Amino acid sequence: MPQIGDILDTFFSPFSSEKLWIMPENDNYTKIVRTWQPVVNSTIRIKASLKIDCVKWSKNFRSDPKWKPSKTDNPKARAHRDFVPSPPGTDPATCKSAFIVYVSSKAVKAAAAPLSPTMRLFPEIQTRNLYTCSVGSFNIYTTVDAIDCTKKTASVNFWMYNSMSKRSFGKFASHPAFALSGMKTQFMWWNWIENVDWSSGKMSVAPRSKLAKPSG
Amino acid sequence: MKLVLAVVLCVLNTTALATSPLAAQTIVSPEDDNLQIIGSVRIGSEVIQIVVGYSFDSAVMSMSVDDGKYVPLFVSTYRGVPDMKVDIFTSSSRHEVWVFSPTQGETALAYFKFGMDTALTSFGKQRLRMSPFPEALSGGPTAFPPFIENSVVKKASFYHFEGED
Repeated sequence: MPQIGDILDTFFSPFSSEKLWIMPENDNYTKIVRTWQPVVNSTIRIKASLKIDCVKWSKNFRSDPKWKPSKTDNPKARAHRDFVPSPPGTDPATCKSAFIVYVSSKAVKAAAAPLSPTMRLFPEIQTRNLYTCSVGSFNIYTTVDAIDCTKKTASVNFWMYNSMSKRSFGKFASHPAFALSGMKTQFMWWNWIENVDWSSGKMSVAPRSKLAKPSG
Repeated sequence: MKLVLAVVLCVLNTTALATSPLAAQTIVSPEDDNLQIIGSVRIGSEVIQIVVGYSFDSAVMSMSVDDGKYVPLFVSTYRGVPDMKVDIFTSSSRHEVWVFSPTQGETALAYFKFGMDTALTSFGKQRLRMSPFPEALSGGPTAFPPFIENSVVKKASFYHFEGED
């Protein structure tokens, strides 16, 4: 299970290479993004659309078992899309604080490790803000694995996407401080499923006992 | 995501780059929101513009209609839009507009009929936005009205270039 530090370290490494990060439902990063308010708001919008336009969803936004996430910015075809630009809490000041904490904890660990071998076990500090700042703007592509507009139930499959790229950084990427950084694009996908029921008129999410494998 | 890099620079600025004039320029703030006009064209008595609204880590290309209302054409999760050509077509009656980008595929980016308060986009039917910086866009692809080449006129082509950093 990747931590955000793993993704950042891969991105800034001189030996950086393009990588596809797929975070399934039981992944810690997925659990974090699912409780992030901009994502919560997004899923509320998506489920409201499903409730209003069940027939349209049933016809147009069916999951394709053959679809797999890939290293591309292109929108996922035949899916509902929710685009959230520059969400609150990803502003430069907040992200600066989170990154300083992370970099400082790495520096302390590196400096102290030769003095005390147990310091190698000392965790780097990766705050919740570091996780969300590293996402920033995002898209959530949604399809239904199963849907019954009469019973008003559906199994909703969410794929949230963002990429961390040199292109994202604009003019800053050419700063001399990063001359040795590979900055190869990191393609990040988070996946989860919600079994929903709106037969009472109110949208509810049933607990999921077994976690399914990712599907399109 | 550029935020993280800005932060890295900021961390470095506190040490090795403390005396560099870059130190004051590396933070991108929400105040950096700005609007770039790609081009304008008059269609009958109406003027439409293609614009890009840049926010700190996102960008939205829109068509401005009806004196400052916006139809989203293309969105991105970084502060930039890929290089693209944007073609504007109108019906012979000049009441309808189709927007295509050959670099983005054969499907229209948007369809708008003058006087309406909605437009068809890659997010489906959307109300016209009062700002080029939407808080969110939600929806799915939809069918556009038939585009019959013999009955439409290309009014303008615009080219958007940002180049590689």
